[in-house]
This record gives sequence, C-alpha cells and structure tokens, in this order.
Amino acid sequence: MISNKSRIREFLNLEAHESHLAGFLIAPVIIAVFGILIMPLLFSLFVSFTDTRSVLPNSYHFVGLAEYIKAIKNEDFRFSLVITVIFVVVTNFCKLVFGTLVALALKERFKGRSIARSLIIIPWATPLIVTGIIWKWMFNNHVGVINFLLTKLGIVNHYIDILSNRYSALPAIILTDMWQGTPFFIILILAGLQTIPDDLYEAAGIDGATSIQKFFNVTLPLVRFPMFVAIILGSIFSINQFDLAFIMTRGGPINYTRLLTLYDWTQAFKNLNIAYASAVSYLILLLSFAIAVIYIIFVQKSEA
Amino acid sequence: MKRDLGKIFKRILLYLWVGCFLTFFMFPFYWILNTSLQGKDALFQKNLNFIPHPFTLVNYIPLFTNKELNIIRALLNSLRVAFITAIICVILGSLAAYAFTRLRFKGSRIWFILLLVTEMLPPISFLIPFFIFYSRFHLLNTWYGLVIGYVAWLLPIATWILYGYFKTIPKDLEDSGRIDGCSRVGSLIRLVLPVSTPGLISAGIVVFMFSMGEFIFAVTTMSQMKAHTLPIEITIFVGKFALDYGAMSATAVLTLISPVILVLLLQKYLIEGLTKGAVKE
Repeated sequence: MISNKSRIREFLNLEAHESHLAGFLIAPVIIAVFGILIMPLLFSLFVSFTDTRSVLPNSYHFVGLAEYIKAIKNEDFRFSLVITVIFVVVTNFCKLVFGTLVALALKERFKGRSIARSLIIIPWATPLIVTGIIWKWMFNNHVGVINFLLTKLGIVNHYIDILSNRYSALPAIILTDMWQGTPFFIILILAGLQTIPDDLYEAAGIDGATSIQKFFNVTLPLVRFPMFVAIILGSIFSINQFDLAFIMTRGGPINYTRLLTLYDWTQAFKNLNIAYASAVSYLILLLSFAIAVIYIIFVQKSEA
Repeated sequence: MKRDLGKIFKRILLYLWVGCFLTFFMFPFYWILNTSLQGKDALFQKNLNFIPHPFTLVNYIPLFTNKELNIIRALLNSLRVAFITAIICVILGSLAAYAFTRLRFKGSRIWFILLLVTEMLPPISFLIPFFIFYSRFHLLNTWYGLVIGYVAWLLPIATWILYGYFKTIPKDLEDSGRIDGCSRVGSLIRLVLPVSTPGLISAGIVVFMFSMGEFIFAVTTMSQMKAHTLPIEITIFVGKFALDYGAMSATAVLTLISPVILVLLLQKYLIEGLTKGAVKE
C-alpha cells in the first residue's frame, strides 16, 4: 500500500515521466472530443456513398460518388450555394468595416466609455433564436417598429413586407446577423488597438500625417492579425448559420434566403434523403475546411 | 483657435457616432421589453407606444402559471444541460490546457491543432449521424444526450480559452512551488488554478452561453415536449400562437435574462479570456 502510494507520487513528480503525465491529462479531452465525434463523422461519410433514404435501414447499397454528383448538378443546391457565398462575404465584410469604426471610437477617451464597452457585448451573448425572434418582430409588416419608423421618417409611404420580398429578405437577415456578430469583431479589434503604443501616433503626428494616413499606415498594419482572426472565425460561423434564416424566413421567399445548412437540414429531416443530405453536409464541410486550412497556415507562419 | 474648433467638432462627431451605434445595439432589447409589458390591444394600434402603456405583466404571468405552455420545464432543462456541460468542460479543459502549456510531449502541437480543427467542422455534418446513433442507443429526448453532444462540441473552445490564459501565468510561480515540494498536479491545483480564476470563469461562461442558446442539435434530437429546451420552446410558441406577440416577447425576455446577466457581471474576465489568444503582445 505504502509502496503503491510512493510510486504514484514518484510518477507524478519525475520529469522523465512528463509525457506520461501529459498523456494522462489530455486523455479525457481527446477521448471526449474525438471519441464522440469521429465515429459519427466517419459513419456519415460512409452513408454519403450509399443511396439510403432511411434513418435505420436494413442494408446499405453502395453507389460511390453518385449522391455528390447529384448535388453538384442540382439547381436548388447551386442556388443555395450562391446565397450562402453572398451571405458569408457580405456579412463578414460589413462586420469588419462597422466593427473597426466602432472599435476606433471605443478606443478614444470619453465619458461613459466603460459603460458603452460593456453594452456592446450583450448582443453577442443573446441566443441566436431570440435574436431572430426579436428582429422578425421588428420587421413585422403590420405593426413592426421598423416599418413604423420608416413611414414616420417619410422614407417609405406604406408598410412593406421586408421578410417576404426576395430582394430585401437576405439583406434583412444580414443586418440581423451583423447586430449579433459585430460585437465579436469589435472585441478582437479593440483588443488589438489597445496594444498600439501612443508614441507611434505622436511620431506620425510630428511627421505631419493626417488622421486618415495615421489609420492606414500606423493602425491598420498593427491590427491586421486580430482582424484576420475575426474574419476567419466569423466566416466559419456564418457558413454554419442556420438559426436566423430558420426562424425569420424558413428559407423563403422562393428560396432566396435558403442557406446551404437550411437546404441540407430540410433534405435530411423533412424529405429523409439521408444519403443525399450526408453528401451535401460533406460539401459544406469541405468549404469550412478550406477556410480553416488558410487560418492554420497563417497562424503557424505568424508564430514562426 | 481654429485648432480648438476642430477639436470640438471631432468631439461632437465622436459622441454622435457613439450614440448611433449604441442605439443600434440596444434598441432591439428595449423594444422586446417594451412589447412584453403591453397588452394585446396596445400592440395592434397603428400608433406604437414607445413607453409601455398601459403597463401590464399579463404576458408574463401565464408563463409561470399555465402548465400547458411548458416554458418553466424548458427553462429548467436548458439550465441543467448548460450547467453540467460547463462544469465538465472547465474541469477537463483545464487539465488538458495545463498539459499543452506546461509539459513537453510528443504530438502536443498536432493534438492541439486537431482540437481546433474540430471546432471548424460544420455542426450540420454531425447532425445526421448523431441522429442515427442517438436513435440506435436510445439517447433521443434525454438530457444526457444533449450533454454528450455539447461537451464534444464545446470542450475544444474551453481548452483553447484556458490555454490562452495559462500561457500568461509565469512559470516562476510553479518553479517556486516545486522547490517547496509540490508535485506537478499539486502545483496545478494549488498554484495555477487559483490565479487563473478569470480564465476558468470565462471558459465556463462561454460554454454555458453556447449551450443555453444552441438550437439545431436540440431541435433535431429532443422532439418530445418533456425534453424541450428553451430555444425549441420559443420557436414552437411562435408557430402555435402566431398572433400572441405579447407572450412571445415575454418568453424572449425570459430566455435572454440569464446569459445577459452573466455576461454583464463577468465581462472583464470574458474579454480577457477571449482576446488573449487572438492578440499578440
């Protein structure tokens, strides 16, 4: 008993056993994450090579890449892909510009700055479904506050059904997504701005630089890293956006807001095209993966 | 003189801009609260009230008294799942983060990157196989079914936040402890963990928040009423009582409360924990 105890103590103490201890410490995380995720992921890859249309089929019929080819040739899939790309690019670009402008203001010293800084985080903490419900209510075409204000200000002369119009539905979802997602951009960019020493601006001032020159020559190069992190994480997040479109429009009008995730979900759980939906989900995975690889290469390079 | 005027002008512009974006970020909260405090009649007038008039709690009372609405049970389900997930993620995550920051071992970097990669995989690609596995192993409509999925999804994020935090704690602290005869694990528990409270808290909040708000996995695997979480209940609510915007907004406010309070109270820790990894000092 005593020898056992001292052996444990020895085991935990010796540098030579550092890697054993490390294995012991990371094992729970590795097992929990990969143990739970890898089987389903491989299984779904397998299913995507079959043509099953049932959750628990008796047997699987192997068809190779047929379901993938079906997806790529499918008009609906392509349309959703285009909508998704527009959504991801526009929303992240807007968040970057808007987030930078807000972060620049929050860097200045003014009365109430600390309150302002805490307030802007709250949208980010709001559950997406609740965000969708609040904005859907505000966009309401009978008693919505947005229509009310637009008419009061004389911008439109009658109430419009923003979420049912094919040209305004996606922009409305993008605006909602910006409300939810820009705070994350602001937090990261602001943290980057705060690491810039004041001397740099003073030096630039002595050299006669204008505010705009200071921004492009001093600020921007130094906050490139946090901006990049924000865009990559933001893009991966928006490729996977589902909740907002689900609650606000269900993909309508006529599929103009049907993001790939929504398309995939409908195929799987409404139409029970299990194999086809698995193939589509792997195509979404490839898209995310491409962005992830860019990210990792960039981080590795900047750390080297 | 001219310079002063320019400065004042800049100041005014700054305040105007701050006012604009704060309105944008805060208005939806104000509006949903305002809606939830008014009766049906007031909501369907052409002229909207910007201050609740007449003020009423009529929308909130049924949420607590009417059992058919299932709101309280859904709230308790959400809280239970989020709380248990957060505890598991913080405990397991801090062990791993300690190993990644303090110990040298083979494959340390690879494992760490692999963990981050899982975070970038789209949840939708796990949804179908999880549904199939869950129906086979009878995990549909159980709270532990949700916890299993959420732990796998959020553990890498928790580990990453804690990793960023542990990295900033000086190694001297432990060296002094180890000279005094602490073991590795002893120094983790007695020296590193107490000073990393902010990191532990922010990892915990992030996990809690994400589990509270998660929708697509819950709605797919928790189809029975008794297993519903709050985000599911709120969407059903919108469909079932399509015109009862008062009750809907009251539920929305109820769903908002816990994450918003947590974030406001602990935002200092949260920002520290979130940005440590992304900003190079």
